[in-house]
Amino acid sequence: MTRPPQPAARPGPSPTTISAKIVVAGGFGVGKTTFVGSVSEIDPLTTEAVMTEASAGHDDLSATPNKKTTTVAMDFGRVSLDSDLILYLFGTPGQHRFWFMWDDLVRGAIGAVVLVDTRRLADCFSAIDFFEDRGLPYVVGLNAFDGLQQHRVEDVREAMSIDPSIPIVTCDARHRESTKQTLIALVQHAMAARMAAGAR
Amino acid sequence: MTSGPDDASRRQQEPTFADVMNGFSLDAKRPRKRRLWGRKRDEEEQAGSPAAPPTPPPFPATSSAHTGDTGFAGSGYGGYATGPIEPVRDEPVLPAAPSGAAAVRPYAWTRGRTKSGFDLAIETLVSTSRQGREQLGLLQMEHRSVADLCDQPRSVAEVAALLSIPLGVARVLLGDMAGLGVVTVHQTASSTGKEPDLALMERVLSGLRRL
Ligand SMILES: Nc1nc2c(ncn2[C@@H]2O[C@H](COP(=O)(O)OP(=O)(O)OP(=O)(O)O)[C@@H](O)[C@H]2O)c(=O)[nH]1
Ligand SMILES: [Mg+2]
Repeated sequence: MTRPPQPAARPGPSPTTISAKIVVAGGFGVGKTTFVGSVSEIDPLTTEAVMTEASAGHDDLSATPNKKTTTVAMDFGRVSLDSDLILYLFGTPGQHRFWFMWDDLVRGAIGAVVLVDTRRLADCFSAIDFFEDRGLPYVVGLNAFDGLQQHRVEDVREAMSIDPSIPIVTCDARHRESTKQTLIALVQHAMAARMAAGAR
Repeated sequence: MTSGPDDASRRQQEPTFADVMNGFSLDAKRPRKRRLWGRKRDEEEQAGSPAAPPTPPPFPATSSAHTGDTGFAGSGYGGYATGPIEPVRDEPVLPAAPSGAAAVRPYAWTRGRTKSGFDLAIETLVSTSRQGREQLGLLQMEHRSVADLCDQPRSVAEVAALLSIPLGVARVLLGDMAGLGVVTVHQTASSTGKEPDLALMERVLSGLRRL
């Protein structure tokens, strides 16, 4: 039996190129867009989704008689890691009320970087709770707005009661090398978490 | 004095519009179970920061903000501004390469469907297929814009951002085009399972180190 010539079933440019995703979260103005932009090969792009707040499942929102609609914007960047591998970095919307949108962001992600401004620790709690709840590996990046000293890292862990297994790294979102190291820390952590889960 | 009939009718329309968009981008993907995680924290935050108003600001004219900057706006949104959108079961995809008019009929983009048979994550890459390139001149305008853009692989999010359309619309549009065989849907890191596998993470790691 002769094989028919390969049909044009898989045409197109490099159909084998695949994509991966990392989420960058944190409070308002903590440096998410800066972080994404510092490694992205494109200027961060913004994409929008329109949602009704009533779909949030929030008690305080469902109490509102009229549904309100909101446009939520998230920005993202792209990093080509190989000829057939593209990494996307998605920054979550800064406003806490929109955390429920993150389901879509988080599905299938390698993990998340939670950026923290040490002057406003509480801003990142909802992000951390969310990733823990979803079982998504994450690292905490202390964004060095004021030249943070290394010894403060453990103070921060204590203050935020972050599990010792979660890496906390200092970073400067404005610098590519720093962002790169933070991402490396995350992927290593995600791999370790995966292997630990597999060994259990 | 404060509000006229115009306001009232507009207010009626906006949630409808939003419901539609919401369905596209969010509700269609919502898992069945809802969690109330973080509620405690939210309450703490609200209690701790009186500056944050508990009620959101009045809804701005989102629909016009959106339609203002997209070339497809009029035809795209008008079609489903009224009437409920039913979540549609996954339709069988259209036969590939329908000839002539069937392929190019200027449908409303989505014909009211809220999802396609394709699982398109925000990072899923799509690229124009050979068939898409050959049929470029026959494609309806919206599909052609996408086909031009996806000459190289682009993520769903990029298509949405670069065409200034909401994510949910881009998803349905791309699902349609994939159904027509005009674009190829690529694998993602997590296509094969729920989570990215170790080998892929290893590749990401060495890619990052080389940066
Ligand atoms: N000194 C210092 N400034 C930073 C750093 N990272 C970000 N910034 C500055 O902080 C400001 C806010 O940064 P963004 O990247 O816009 O923050 P964001 O988290 O995207 O903000 P939202 O999207 O509004 O929540 C900008 O002016 C940045 O230049 C940092 O590591 N050090
Ligand atoms: Mg930002």
